[in-house]
Amino acid sequence: MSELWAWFVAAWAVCAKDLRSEFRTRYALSAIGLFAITTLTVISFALGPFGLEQDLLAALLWVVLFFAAMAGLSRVFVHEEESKTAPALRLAAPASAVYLGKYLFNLVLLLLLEVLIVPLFIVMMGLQVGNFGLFALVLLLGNLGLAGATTIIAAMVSQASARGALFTVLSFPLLLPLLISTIEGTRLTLAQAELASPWPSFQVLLAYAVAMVTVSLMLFPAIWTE
Amino acid sequence: MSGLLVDEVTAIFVVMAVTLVVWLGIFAYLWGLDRKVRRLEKEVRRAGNE
Amino acid sequence: MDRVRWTAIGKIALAVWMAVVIILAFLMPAQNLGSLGQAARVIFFHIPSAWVTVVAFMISSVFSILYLVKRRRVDDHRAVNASVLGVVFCILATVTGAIFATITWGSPWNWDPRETTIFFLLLFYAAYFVLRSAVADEERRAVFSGAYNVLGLVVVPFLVFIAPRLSVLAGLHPEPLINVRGELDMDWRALVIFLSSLAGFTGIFGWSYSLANRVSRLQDEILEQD
Repeated sequence: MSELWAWFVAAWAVCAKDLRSEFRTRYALSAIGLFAITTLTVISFALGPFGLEQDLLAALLWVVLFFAAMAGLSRVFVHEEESKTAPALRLAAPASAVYLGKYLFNLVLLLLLEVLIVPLFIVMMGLQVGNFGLFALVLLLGNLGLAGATTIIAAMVSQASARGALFTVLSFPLLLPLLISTIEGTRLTLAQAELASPWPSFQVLLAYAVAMVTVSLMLFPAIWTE
Repeated sequence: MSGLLVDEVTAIFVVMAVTLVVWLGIFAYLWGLDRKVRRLEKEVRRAGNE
Repeated sequence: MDRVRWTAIGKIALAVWMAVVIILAFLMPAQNLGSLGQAARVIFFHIPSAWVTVVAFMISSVFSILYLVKRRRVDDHRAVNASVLGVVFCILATVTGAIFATITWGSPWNWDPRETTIFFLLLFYAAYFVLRSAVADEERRAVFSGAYNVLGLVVVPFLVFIAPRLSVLAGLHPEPLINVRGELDMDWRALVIFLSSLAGFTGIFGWSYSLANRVSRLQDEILEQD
Protein backbone atom coordinates (compact mmCIF):
# COMPACT_ATOMS: atom_id res chain seq x y z
CA MET A 1 0.00 0.00 0.00
CA SER A 2 2.79 2.38 0.81
CA GLU A 3 4.32 1.63 -2.56
CA LEU A 4 1.17 2.85 -4.25
CA TRP A 5 1.20 5.92 -2.07
CA ALA A 6 4.83 6.61 -2.94
CA TRP A 7 3.88 6.33 -6.57
CA PHE A 8 1.08 8.84 -6.17
CA VAL A 9 3.41 11.16 -4.32
CA ALA A 10 5.92 10.96 -7.18
CA ALA A 11 3.20 11.69 -9.74
CA TRP A 12 1.95 14.60 -7.71
CA ALA A 13 5.51 15.87 -7.33
CA VAL A 14 5.97 15.90 -11.12
CA CYS A 15 2.70 17.76 -11.53
CA ALA A 16 3.44 20.18 -8.74
CA LYS A 17 6.86 20.97 -10.18
CA ASP A 18 5.28 21.87 -13.50
CA LEU A 19 2.52 23.86 -11.82
CA ARG A 20 5.04 25.81 -9.78
CA SER A 21 7.18 26.67 -12.79
CA GLU A 22 4.05 27.51 -14.73
CA PHE A 23 2.83 29.78 -11.98
CA ARG A 24 6.12 31.63 -12.11
CA THR A 25 6.38 32.07 -15.84
CA ARG A 26 2.78 31.59 -16.95
CA TYR A 27 4.27 30.64 -20.26
CA ALA A 28 2.07 27.77 -21.31
CA LEU A 29 -1.11 29.38 -20.05
CA SER A 30 -0.37 32.63 -21.86
CA ALA A 31 0.43 30.84 -25.08
CA ILE A 32 -2.63 28.67 -24.98
CA GLY A 33 -4.87 31.43 -23.66
CA LEU A 34 -3.82 34.05 -26.16
CA PHE A 35 -4.13 31.53 -28.95
CA ALA A 36 -7.68 30.75 -27.87
CA ILE A 37 -8.60 34.40 -27.54
CA THR A 38 -7.20 35.11 -30.98
CA THR A 39 -9.16 32.23 -32.49
CA LEU A 40 -12.28 33.32 -30.70
CA THR A 41 -11.87 36.89 -31.89
CA VAL A 42 -11.41 35.79 -35.47
CA ILE A 43 -14.49 33.61 -35.29
CA SER A 44 -16.57 36.29 -33.64
CA PHE A 45 -15.41 38.90 -36.09
CA ALA A 46 -15.87 36.76 -39.17
CA LEU A 47 -19.06 34.96 -38.24
CA GLY A 48 -20.68 37.34 -35.79
CA PRO A 49 -22.96 39.17 -38.20
CA PHE A 50 -24.41 35.92 -39.47
CA GLY A 51 -26.56 34.93 -36.51
CA LEU A 52 -25.33 31.42 -35.98
CA GLU A 53 -27.46 28.57 -34.75
CA GLN A 54 -26.76 27.19 -31.30
CA ASP A 55 -25.78 23.80 -32.73
CA LEU A 56 -23.09 25.45 -34.79
CA LEU A 57 -21.86 27.38 -31.76
CA ALA A 58 -21.47 24.16 -29.80
CA ALA A 59 -19.21 22.85 -32.54
CA LEU A 60 -17.27 26.11 -32.78
CA LEU A 61 -16.56 26.08 -29.08
CA TRP A 62 -14.79 22.77 -29.43
CA VAL A 63 -12.96 23.94 -32.54
CA VAL A 64 -11.48 26.75 -30.47
CA LEU A 65 -10.64 24.43 -27.58
CA PHE A 66 -9.13 21.86 -29.90
CA PHE A 67 -6.78 24.30 -31.59
CA ALA A 68 -5.79 25.84 -28.30
CA ALA A 69 -5.01 22.35 -27.02
CA MET A 70 -2.88 21.71 -30.09
CA ALA A 71 -1.02 24.92 -29.39
CA GLY A 72 -0.24 24.22 -25.78
CA LEU A 73 -0.52 20.64 -24.60
CA SER A 74 2.69 19.34 -26.12
CA ARG A 75 4.70 21.64 -23.96
CA VAL A 76 4.75 19.27 -21.00
CA PHE A 77 7.32 17.08 -22.71
CA VAL A 78 8.81 19.27 -25.41
CA HIS A 79 9.92 21.73 -22.74
CA GLU A 80 11.70 18.98 -20.82
CA GLU A 81 13.59 17.80 -23.88
CA GLU A 82 14.49 21.30 -24.99
CA SER A 83 15.74 22.45 -21.63
CA LYS A 84 17.57 19.12 -21.24
CA THR A 85 15.85 18.34 -17.95
CA ALA A 86 14.33 15.16 -19.39
CA PRO A 87 17.15 12.81 -18.41
CA ALA A 88 16.97 14.05 -14.83
CA LEU A 89 13.25 13.45 -14.82
CA ARG A 90 13.78 9.92 -16.09
CA LEU A 91 15.98 9.22 -13.07
CA ALA A 92 13.81 11.03 -10.58
CA ALA A 93 10.54 9.17 -10.95
CA PRO A 94 9.12 5.94 -12.35
CA ALA A 95 7.74 6.26 -15.88
CA SER A 96 4.09 5.80 -15.00
CA ALA A 97 4.32 8.44 -12.29
CA VAL A 98 5.82 10.86 -14.79
CA TYR A 99 2.94 10.17 -17.12
CA LEU A 100 0.32 10.70 -14.45
CA GLY A 101 1.96 13.91 -13.31
CA LYS A 102 2.11 15.31 -16.82
CA TYR A 103 -1.45 14.20 -17.48
CA LEU A 104 -2.69 16.02 -14.40
CA PHE A 105 -0.80 19.12 -15.41
CA ASN A 106 -2.38 19.11 -18.87
CA LEU A 107 -5.75 18.63 -17.22
CA VAL A 108 -5.22 21.69 -15.03
CA LEU A 109 -4.08 23.66 -18.06
CA LEU A 110 -7.25 22.76 -19.93
CA LEU A 111 -9.46 23.64 -16.98
CA LEU A 112 -7.81 27.02 -16.59
CA LEU A 113 -8.15 27.61 -20.29
CA GLU A 114 -11.85 26.89 -20.16
CA VAL A 115 -12.38 29.14 -17.17
CA LEU A 116 -11.00 31.88 -19.36
CA ILE A 117 -12.50 31.04 -22.73
CA VAL A 118 -15.94 29.62 -22.04
CA PRO A 119 -17.41 32.76 -20.45
CA LEU A 120 -15.86 34.83 -23.24
CA PHE A 121 -17.34 32.50 -25.80
CA ILE A 122 -20.77 32.66 -24.22
CA VAL A 123 -20.71 36.44 -24.25
CA MET A 124 -19.10 36.99 -27.64
CA MET A 125 -20.96 34.35 -29.58
CA GLY A 126 -24.24 34.36 -27.74
CA LEU A 127 -24.19 30.74 -26.63
CA GLN A 128 -27.28 29.90 -24.61
CA VAL A 129 -26.60 27.20 -22.09
CA GLY A 130 -29.64 25.34 -20.86
CA ASN A 131 -28.22 23.23 -18.07
CA PHE A 132 -25.01 24.64 -16.63
CA GLY A 133 -24.25 21.59 -14.52
CA LEU A 134 -24.37 19.22 -17.46
CA PHE A 135 -22.54 21.73 -19.63
CA ALA A 136 -19.68 21.85 -17.13
CA LEU A 137 -19.72 18.05 -16.96
CA VAL A 138 -19.27 17.76 -20.73
CA LEU A 139 -16.31 20.09 -20.56
CA LEU A 140 -14.76 18.13 -17.72
CA LEU A 141 -15.22 14.75 -19.36
CA GLY A 142 -13.97 16.13 -22.65
CA ASN A 143 -10.87 17.42 -20.89
CA LEU A 144 -10.18 14.03 -19.35
CA GLY A 145 -10.14 12.49 -22.81
CA LEU A 146 -8.36 15.37 -24.49
CA ALA A 147 -5.50 15.27 -22.01
CA GLY A 148 -5.54 11.48 -22.12
CA ALA A 149 -4.92 11.26 -25.82
CA THR A 150 -2.53 14.17 -26.14
CA THR A 151 -0.15 13.59 -23.24
CA ILE A 152 1.34 10.41 -24.64
CA ILE A 153 1.50 11.91 -28.14
CA ALA A 154 3.38 14.83 -26.62
CA ALA A 155 5.89 12.38 -25.19
CA MET A 156 6.47 10.89 -28.63
CA VAL A 157 6.65 14.23 -30.36
CA SER A 158 9.20 15.58 -27.87
CA GLN A 159 11.68 12.98 -29.08
CA ALA A 160 11.01 13.56 -32.78
CA SER A 161 11.46 16.35 -35.27
CA ALA A 162 8.95 18.80 -36.75
CA ARG A 163 7.27 18.98 -33.37
CA GLY A 164 4.55 21.57 -33.80
CA ALA A 165 2.92 20.19 -36.88
CA LEU A 166 3.59 16.60 -35.86
CA PHE A 167 1.66 17.00 -32.63
CA THR A 168 -1.49 18.17 -34.39
CA VAL A 169 -1.19 15.60 -37.18
CA LEU A 170 -0.88 12.74 -34.70
CA SER A 171 -3.48 13.97 -32.24
CA PHE A 172 -6.35 14.73 -34.54
CA PRO A 173 -7.17 11.19 -35.76
CA LEU A 174 -7.17 9.94 -32.19
CA LEU A 175 -9.32 12.83 -31.02
CA LEU A 176 -11.94 12.47 -33.71
CA PRO A 177 -14.31 10.29 -31.64
CA LEU A 178 -13.81 12.58 -28.67
CA LEU A 179 -14.68 15.68 -30.67
CA ILE A 180 -17.77 14.05 -32.13
CA SER A 181 -19.01 13.11 -28.68
CA THR A 182 -18.20 16.37 -26.95
CA ILE A 183 -19.85 18.43 -29.65
CA GLU A 184 -22.90 16.20 -29.47
CA GLY A 185 -22.94 16.31 -25.68
CA THR A 186 -22.47 20.08 -25.55
CA ARG A 187 -25.20 20.53 -28.09
CA LEU A 188 -27.65 18.66 -25.91
CA THR A 189 -27.00 20.82 -22.86
CA LEU A 190 -27.89 24.01 -24.65
CA ALA A 191 -31.12 25.88 -24.09
CA GLN A 192 -32.63 25.08 -27.46
CA ALA A 193 -31.69 21.44 -27.52
CA GLU A 194 -34.29 18.79 -28.08
CA LEU A 195 -35.25 16.79 -25.03
CA ALA A 196 -32.82 13.99 -25.84
CA SER A 197 -30.57 13.02 -23.00
CA PRO A 198 -26.88 13.85 -23.21
CA TRP A 199 -26.02 10.94 -20.94
CA PRO A 200 -25.03 8.52 -23.74
CA SER A 201 -22.41 11.05 -24.80
CA PHE A 202 -21.18 11.25 -21.22
CA GLN A 203 -20.77 7.51 -21.09
CA VAL A 204 -18.79 7.52 -24.31
CA LEU A 205 -16.61 10.38 -23.08
CA LEU A 206 -15.89 8.67 -19.78
CA ALA A 207 -15.12 5.38 -21.52
CA TYR A 208 -12.85 7.17 -23.94
CA ALA A 209 -10.95 8.92 -21.18
CA VAL A 210 -10.52 5.70 -19.19
CA ALA A 211 -9.41 3.79 -22.29
CA MET A 212 -6.91 6.41 -23.40
CA VAL A 213 -5.34 6.86 -19.98
CA THR A 214 -5.12 3.12 -19.38
CA VAL A 215 -3.50 2.40 -22.74
CA SER A 216 -1.21 5.40 -22.33
CA LEU A 217 -0.04 4.10 -18.96
CA MET A 218 0.78 0.78 -20.59
CA LEU A 219 2.58 2.29 -23.57
CA PHE A 220 4.33 5.16 -21.84
CA PRO A 221 7.29 3.27 -20.32
CA ALA A 222 8.31 2.01 -23.77
CA ILE A 223 8.21 5.52 -25.15
CA TRP A 224 9.78 7.31 -22.22
CA THR A 225 12.75 5.11 -21.41
CA GLU A 226 15.52 5.05 -23.95
CA MET B 1 -25.05 18.72 -70.48
CA SER B 2 -27.73 16.94 -72.40
CA GLY B 3 -27.11 13.75 -74.31
CA LEU B 4 -24.29 11.35 -73.69
CA LEU B 5 -21.56 11.01 -76.27
CA VAL B 6 -22.03 7.25 -76.30
CA ASP B 7 -25.04 5.23 -75.32
CA GLU B 8 -25.16 3.44 -72.01
CA VAL B 9 -24.36 0.00 -73.32
CA THR B 10 -21.12 1.07 -74.99
CA ALA B 11 -20.18 3.03 -71.88
CA ILE B 12 -20.41 -0.08 -69.73
CA PHE B 13 -18.20 -1.99 -72.12
CA VAL B 14 -15.65 0.78 -72.10
CA VAL B 15 -15.52 0.91 -68.31
CA MET B 16 -15.25 -2.86 -68.16
CA ALA B 17 -12.42 -2.90 -70.68
CA VAL B 18 -10.57 -0.17 -68.80
CA THR B 19 -10.98 -2.00 -65.50
CA LEU B 20 -9.75 -5.20 -67.10
CA VAL B 21 -6.69 -3.51 -68.53
CA VAL B 22 -5.95 -1.86 -65.18
CA TRP B 23 -6.19 -5.21 -63.42
CA LEU B 24 -3.97 -6.98 -65.95
CA GLY B 25 -1.47 -4.17 -65.63
CA ILE B 26 -1.41 -4.51 -61.86
CA PHE B 27 -1.07 -8.27 -62.20
CA ALA B 28 1.83 -7.94 -64.65
CA TYR B 29 3.55 -5.54 -62.25
CA LEU B 30 3.14 -7.91 -59.30
CA TRP B 31 4.29 -10.86 -61.37
CA GLY B 32 7.41 -9.03 -62.52
CA LEU B 33 8.14 -7.97 -58.95
CA ASP B 34 7.69 -11.52 -57.76
CA ARG B 35 10.23 -12.75 -60.31
CA LYS B 36 12.78 -10.13 -59.31
CA VAL B 37 12.34 -10.95 -55.63
CA ARG B 38 12.74 -14.66 -56.32
CA ARG B 39 15.96 -14.01 -58.24
CA LEU B 40 17.32 -11.77 -55.50
CA GLU B 41 16.46 -14.32 -52.85
CA LYS B 42 18.43 -17.00 -54.71
CA GLU B 43 21.43 -14.69 -55.04
CA VAL B 44 21.39 -13.59 -51.42
CA ARG B 45 21.08 -17.15 -50.19
CA ARG B 46 23.95 -18.24 -52.38
CA ALA B 47 26.09 -15.36 -51.12
CA GLY B 48 25.14 -16.20 -47.56
CA ASN B 49 26.29 -19.80 -47.96
CA GLU B 50 29.71 -18.93 -49.32
CA MET C 1 5.61 -30.11 -58.66
CA ASP C 2 7.38 -28.00 -56.10
CA ARG C 3 6.04 -25.15 -54.06
CA VAL C 4 7.09 -22.44 -56.47
CA ARG C 5 5.12 -24.12 -59.22
CA TRP C 6 1.99 -24.31 -57.10
CA THR C 7 2.15 -20.67 -56.07
CA ALA C 8 2.70 -19.67 -59.69
CA ILE C 9 -0.41 -21.57 -60.69
CA GLY C 10 -2.27 -19.91 -57.83
CA LYS C 11 -1.24 -16.46 -59.01
CA ILE C 12 -2.31 -17.13 -62.58
CA ALA C 13 -5.57 -18.46 -61.21
CA LEU C 14 -5.99 -15.21 -59.30
CA ALA C 15 -5.48 -13.25 -62.51
CA VAL C 16 -8.13 -15.25 -64.31
CA TRP C 17 -10.44 -15.15 -61.30
CA MET C 18 -10.39 -11.38 -61.02
CA ALA C 19 -10.70 -10.97 -64.79
CA VAL C 20 -13.86 -13.06 -64.72
CA VAL C 21 -15.15 -11.12 -61.71
CA ILE C 22 -14.61 -7.85 -63.53
CA ILE C 23 -16.34 -9.05 -66.66
CA LEU C 24 -19.31 -10.41 -64.78
CA ALA C 25 -19.52 -7.35 -62.58
CA PHE C 26 -20.10 -5.23 -65.64
CA LEU C 27 -22.10 -7.61 -67.76
CA MET C 28 -24.62 -8.62 -65.14
CA PRO C 29 -27.98 -7.07 -65.97
CA ALA C 30 -28.46 -3.92 -63.97
CA GLN C 31 -32.00 -4.63 -62.82
CA ASN C 32 -30.73 -7.35 -60.53
CA LEU C 33 -28.73 -4.80 -58.60
CA GLY C 34 -31.66 -3.13 -56.97
CA SER C 35 -32.93 0.39 -57.32
CA LEU C 36 -29.54 2.01 -57.79
CA GLY C 37 -29.00 0.96 -61.37
CA GLN C 38 -25.64 0.85 -63.09
CA ALA C 39 -23.93 2.78 -60.32
CA ALA C 40 -24.48 -0.12 -57.95
CA ARG C 41 -21.75 -2.04 -59.77
CA VAL C 42 -19.29 -0.09 -57.67
CA ILE C 43 -20.27 -2.34 -54.74
CA PHE C 44 -18.18 -5.10 -56.28
CA PHE C 45 -15.05 -3.00 -55.93
CA HIS C 46 -15.78 -0.46 -53.25
CA ILE C 47 -16.72 -2.76 -50.41
CA PRO C 48 -13.91 -5.30 -50.97
CA SER C 49 -11.45 -2.40 -50.95
CA ALA C 50 -12.82 -1.14 -47.67
CA TRP C 51 -12.73 -4.66 -46.28
CA VAL C 52 -9.08 -5.12 -47.23
CA THR C 53 -8.05 -1.82 -45.71
CA VAL C 54 -9.69 -2.75 -42.41
CA VAL C 55 -8.03 -6.17 -42.45
CA ALA C 56 -4.69 -4.53 -43.21
CA PHE C 57 -5.19 -2.19 -40.27
CA MET C 58 -5.90 -5.11 -37.95
CA ILE C 59 -2.86 -7.01 -39.18
CA SER C 60 -0.70 -3.95 -38.72
CA SER C 61 -1.97 -3.49 -35.19
CA VAL C 62 -1.31 -7.12 -34.30
CA PHE C 63 2.28 -6.92 -35.51
CA SER C 64 2.73 -3.59 -33.74
CA ILE C 65 1.70 -5.21 -30.48
CA LEU C 66 3.97 -8.17 -31.22
CA TYR C 67 6.85 -5.82 -31.83
CA LEU C 68 6.28 -3.89 -28.62
CA VAL C 69 6.29 -7.14 -26.70
CA LYS C 70 9.05 -9.07 -28.44
CA ARG C 71 11.07 -6.31 -30.11
CA ARG C 72 11.85 -8.30 -33.24
CA ARG C 73 12.67 -6.20 -36.26
CA VAL C 74 10.71 -8.46 -38.58
CA ASP C 75 7.47 -7.63 -36.76
CA ASP C 76 8.00 -3.93 -37.34
CA HIS C 77 8.50 -4.63 -41.07
CA ARG C 78 5.30 -6.62 -41.15
CA ALA C 79 3.39 -3.83 -39.44
CA VAL C 80 4.64 -1.15 -41.83
CA ASN C 81 4.05 -3.23 -44.94
CA ALA C 82 0.50 -3.93 -43.87
CA SER C 83 -0.02 -0.20 -43.36
CA VAL C 84 1.37 0.64 -46.77
CA LEU C 85 -1.02 -1.74 -48.46
CA GLY C 86 -3.75 -0.50 -46.17
CA VAL C 87 -3.36 3.08 -47.42
CA VAL C 88 -3.51 1.96 -51.03
CA PHE C 89 -6.78 0.14 -50.54
CA CYS C 90 -8.08 2.90 -48.32
CA ILE C 91 -7.55 5.45 -51.06
CA LEU C 92 -9.25 3.07 -53.49
CA ALA C 93 -12.21 2.67 -51.18
CA THR C 94 -12.53 6.39 -50.51
CA VAL C 95 -12.33 7.33 -54.18
CA THR C 96 -14.77 4.68 -55.37
CA GLY C 97 -17.08 5.67 -52.55
CA ALA C 98 -16.91 9.33 -53.51
CA ILE C 99 -17.64 8.46 -57.14
CA PHE C 100 -20.65 6.45 -56.07
CA ALA C 101 -21.80 9.21 -53.72
CA THR C 102 -21.58 11.83 -56.45
CA ILE C 103 -23.62 9.74 -58.84
CA THR C 104 -26.22 8.63 -56.37
CA TRP C 105 -26.64 11.54 -53.98
CA GLY C 106 -25.11 14.45 -55.81
CA SER C 107 -22.19 15.29 -53.58
CA PRO C 108 -18.96 13.35 -53.08
CA TRP C 109 -18.64 13.83 -49.32
CA ASN C 110 -21.14 14.22 -46.52
CA TRP C 111 -19.57 13.02 -43.28
CA ASP C 112 -22.03 10.23 -42.77
CA PRO C 113 -20.93 7.43 -40.41
CA ARG C 114 -19.30 5.21 -43.02
CA GLU C 115 -17.52 8.06 -44.74
CA THR C 116 -16.25 9.39 -41.43
CA THR C 117 -14.79 6.01 -40.50
CA ILE C 118 -12.95 5.56 -43.78
CA PHE C 119 -11.71 9.14 -43.61
CA PHE C 120 -10.44 8.50 -40.11
CA LEU C 121 -8.52 5.47 -41.39
CA LEU C 122 -6.98 7.52 -44.19
CA LEU C 123 -5.98 10.26 -41.77
CA PHE C 124 -4.64 7.75 -39.30
CA TYR C 125 -2.49 6.00 -41.90
CA ALA C 126 -1.13 9.34 -43.06
CA ALA C 127 -0.29 10.35 -39.49
CA TYR C 128 1.37 6.96 -38.98
CA PHE C 129 3.72 7.55 -41.91
CA VAL C 130 4.42 11.14 -40.91
CA LEU C 131 5.41 9.86 -37.48
CA ARG C 132 7.74 7.29 -38.97
CA SER C 133 9.45 9.87 -41.14
CA ALA C 134 9.94 12.18 -38.17
CA VAL C 135 11.94 9.74 -36.08
CA ALA C 136 15.53 9.15 -37.09
CA ASP C 137 16.52 6.27 -34.85
CA GLU C 138 15.31 2.94 -36.18
CA GLU C 139 14.39 1.39 -32.88
CA ARG C 140 12.59 4.50 -31.61
CA ARG C 141 10.73 4.68 -34.89
CA ALA C 142 9.47 1.16 -34.51
CA VAL C 143 8.46 1.69 -30.88
CA PHE C 144 6.69 4.97 -31.53
CA SER C 145 4.81 3.85 -34.60
CA GLY C 146 3.92 0.62 -32.85
CA ALA C 147 2.53 2.57 -29.91
CA TYR C 148 0.63 4.90 -32.22
CA ASN C 149 -0.88 1.90 -33.97
CA VAL C 150 -2.11 0.56 -30.64
CA LEU C 151 -3.62 3.94 -29.78
CA GLY C 152 -5.39 3.90 -33.12
CA LEU C 153 -6.71 0.42 -32.42
CA VAL C 154 -8.16 1.62 -29.12
CA VAL C 155 -9.89 4.53 -30.80
CA VAL C 156 -11.56 2.53 -33.58
CA PRO C 157 -14.29 0.90 -31.44
CA PHE C 158 -15.35 4.35 -30.27
CA LEU C 159 -15.63 5.53 -33.82
CA VAL C 160 -17.65 2.49 -34.80
CA PHE C 161 -20.07 2.96 -31.94
CA ILE C 162 -20.34 6.71 -32.16
CA ALA C 163 -20.72 6.99 -35.90
CA PRO C 164 -24.31 5.77 -36.02
CA ARG C 165 -25.24 8.37 -33.46
CA LEU C 166 -24.26 11.29 -35.60
CA SER C 167 -27.88 12.25 -35.32
CA VAL C 168 -27.73 15.13 -37.74
CA LEU C 169 -26.08 13.24 -40.56
CA ALA C 170 -27.20 9.66 -40.11
CA GLY C 171 -29.07 7.86 -42.79
CA LEU C 172 -27.36 9.09 -45.89
CA HIS C 173 -24.95 6.34 -46.74
CA PRO C 174 -25.67 2.90 -45.38
CA GLU C 175 -29.32 2.46 -46.09
CA PRO C 176 -29.39 1.55 -49.77
CA LEU C 177 -26.28 -0.60 -49.48
CA ILE C 178 -27.29 -2.29 -46.26
CA ASN C 179 -30.66 -2.96 -47.72
CA VAL C 180 -29.05 -4.57 -50.70
CA ARG C 181 -26.82 -6.71 -48.52
CA GLY C 182 -29.02 -7.32 -45.53
CA GLU C 183 -32.73 -6.82 -45.76
CA LEU C 184 -33.69 -6.77 -49.42
CA ASP C 185 -30.94 -9.32 -49.97
CA MET C 186 -28.78 -9.08 -52.99
CA ASP C 187 -29.87 -11.06 -55.96
CA TRP C 188 -27.98 -14.35 -55.59
CA ARG C 189 -26.00 -13.81 -58.75
CA ALA C 190 -24.83 -10.42 -57.52
CA LEU C 191 -23.97 -11.99 -54.18
CA VAL C 192 -21.78 -14.60 -55.85
CA ILE C 193 -19.92 -11.97 -57.84
CA PHE C 194 -19.58 -9.85 -54.72
CA LEU C 195 -18.15 -12.65 -52.59
CA SER C 196 -15.84 -13.69 -55.40
CA SER C 197 -14.57 -10.16 -55.66
CA LEU C 198 -14.04 -10.11 -51.91
CA ALA C 199 -11.98 -13.30 -52.14
CA GLY C 200 -10.04 -11.93 -55.09
CA PHE C 201 -9.20 -8.69 -53.35
CA THR C 202 -8.06 -10.61 -50.30
CA GLY C 203 -5.85 -12.72 -52.57
CA ILE C 204 -4.34 -9.61 -54.14
CA PHE C 205 -3.62 -8.25 -50.69
CA GLY C 206 -2.12 -11.53 -49.52
CA TRP C 207 0.20 -11.78 -52.48
CA SER C 208 1.28 -8.14 -52.28
CA TYR C 209 1.80 -8.43 -48.54
CA SER C 210 3.98 -11.52 -48.82
CA LEU C 211 5.99 -9.80 -51.56
CA ALA C 212 6.53 -6.73 -49.40
CA ASN C 213 7.65 -8.84 -46.46
CA ARG C 214 10.04 -10.82 -48.64
CA VAL C 215 11.59 -7.57 -49.85
CA SER C 216 11.98 -6.34 -46.27
CA ARG C 217 13.66 -9.58 -45.29
CA LEU C 218 15.98 -9.34 -48.28
CA GLN C 219 16.97 -5.84 -47.22
CA ASP C 220 17.78 -7.10 -43.74
CA GLU C 221 19.77 -10.06 -45.07
CA ILE C 222 21.75 -7.88 -47.45
CA LEU C 223 22.52 -5.44 -44.66
CA GLU C 224 23.73 -8.28 -42.49
CA GLN C 225 26.06 -9.55 -45.13
CA ASP C 226 27.87 -6.25 -45.45
